[in-house]
Amino acid sequence: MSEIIIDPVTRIEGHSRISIQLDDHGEVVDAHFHVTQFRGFERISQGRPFHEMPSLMARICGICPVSHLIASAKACEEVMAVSIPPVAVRLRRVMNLAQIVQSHSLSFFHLSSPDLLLGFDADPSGRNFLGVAEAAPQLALDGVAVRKFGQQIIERLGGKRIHPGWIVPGGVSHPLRAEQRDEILAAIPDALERIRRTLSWYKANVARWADEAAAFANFPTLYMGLVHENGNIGYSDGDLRVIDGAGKLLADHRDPKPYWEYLGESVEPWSYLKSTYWKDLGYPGGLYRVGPLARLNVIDQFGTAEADDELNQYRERLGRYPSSSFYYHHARLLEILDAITSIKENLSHPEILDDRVRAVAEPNRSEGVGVSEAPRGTLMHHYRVDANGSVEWANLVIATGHNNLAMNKGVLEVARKYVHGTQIPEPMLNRVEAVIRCFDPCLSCSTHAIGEMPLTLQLIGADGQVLDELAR
Amino acid sequence: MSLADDVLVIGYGNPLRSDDGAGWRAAEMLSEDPRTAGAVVLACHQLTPELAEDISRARLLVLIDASEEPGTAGTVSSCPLGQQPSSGAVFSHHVDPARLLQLASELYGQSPPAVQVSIRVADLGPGTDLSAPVEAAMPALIDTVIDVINQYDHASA
Repeated sequence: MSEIIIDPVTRIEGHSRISIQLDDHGEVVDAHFHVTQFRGFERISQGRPFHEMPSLMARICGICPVSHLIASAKACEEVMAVSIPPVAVRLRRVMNLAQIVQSHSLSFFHLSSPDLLLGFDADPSGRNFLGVAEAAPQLALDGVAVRKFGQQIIERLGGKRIHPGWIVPGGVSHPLRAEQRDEILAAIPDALERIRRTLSWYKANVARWADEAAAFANFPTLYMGLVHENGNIGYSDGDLRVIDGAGKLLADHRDPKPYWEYLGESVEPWSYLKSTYWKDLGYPGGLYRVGPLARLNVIDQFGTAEADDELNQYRERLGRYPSSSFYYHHARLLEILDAITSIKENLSHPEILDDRVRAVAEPNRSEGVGVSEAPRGTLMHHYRVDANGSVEWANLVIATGHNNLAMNKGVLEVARKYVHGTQIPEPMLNRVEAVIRCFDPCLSCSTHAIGEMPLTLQLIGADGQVLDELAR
Repeated sequence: MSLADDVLVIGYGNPLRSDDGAGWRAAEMLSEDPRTAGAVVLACHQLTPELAEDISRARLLVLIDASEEPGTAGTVSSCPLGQQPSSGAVFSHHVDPARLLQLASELYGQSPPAVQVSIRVADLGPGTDLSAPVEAAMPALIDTVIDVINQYDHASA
């Protein structure tokens, strides 16, 4: 038995490594995606007043703090037993949509476009965003501008781009001002033009990536996401819809909050990342995917005209329920288009400047669950509090955990395709990383050093001897 | 016209990691300092590609960061960028100063002269307070940034 180690995996959000086990004939028998960092926010939160939870939980992540703000605030509102003002619902949507834009832009332009533009086998020293800027300046310019568009909305509403405030238990801390709304609206035409241009570029080039699309975690799974009553996508709210790989409904119009009724959580000794599974199908058979690809599979439509036109084209080309994780990239671009349009629609609502933006209450329940869609998929926060509102217990179910089983299977699939024998082929190294990147896993965005680290892949024999090694 | 007009000052670091927040703290102090009236002063956790456009519009860029170089804690130094080799790092969503300048040139057609002002650290552990030697050296750090701006103006006059 031999083992290949990829450590660390680069251009993802957080720290991880990949190991691939070979049999005595050099054939792949198993593969694991290890998350090697430990956070412990569930323990840190114990004893804290429940109303501190959104700002505390937002520190989990520097890329998607808004998702944690929203899920946490919703859990707190369950504890308070309140409904928040309608304008606060809309304002939260705007910030969440802005985060979808900036996070998806980071994933597509900064992390993945080097592979797409320059080729999966291009020299790793130039296969980065600077390489994109040199080879396709317009693509890089659009990436920087679209991400900045999302970041600036978050900053305008929450005071800063990373770890903003504003979203609080009961709603938002202060109403939107007309000048804030007008500044955001003025920036929308430029953002739309840039994402349209990027979509055109992607569609014109997608045939180049046919091999990767066929091999990148391409298998049927269940898909899960939040959907509104009318079948529109639900980023910040909505009910649960779960389908299988053929589109059969396993859950629809289901309250997502009692997640323990339909999801199981398991742990493995080789990773700090939990694996969740669809309870009815057991572990590990109940694997499912969340995030952009899954959301586009579960929804009927976005609910905005231009994005729905693009969604129809996407489905005409790929089928109604595409299974290759490579299409997370395309799905992200469609969600950016929809999100920009939806920001405009929400900000154009006649009551968006209403100053009644927050419900205030003491704890009225001992338990609360909040569910929202993060850029990478469904996010769940679950708290129990004592009579004084101090947190006694917390559990977080994050998007990357939902996708963990599928990511591991995807790594195994790619390794089986490219690894045969005791030599490490460079295409395998590139593609194992790239398949993980499709999921855009968020292991903990607080540690931002990734991308600077050297990547080392080792083939290790049963006696511990290094048989082969690649390093960047 | 102020001496600091069109100057971009970026203090960066993690304000939750003690002395790593020195750049952030310096940016906060400089934003209230009348000697930098007219300058754009930003505080951020790290340098990101999104800063390239702002940098391309500046006539001078001053970066303020904590340094782990060996030496006495609180020592302040300045070094023109462009004379420093790039780390060669492959960046994702953060970027080293030299590559950020390169990105500004690639995408927006120009990048300004740039100076890195650094302060040597004593403590990078979790915490919101600066260590005593770095705290004591903050006025010198601020004065160094002002001197860099003034010297540039004299040199370019």
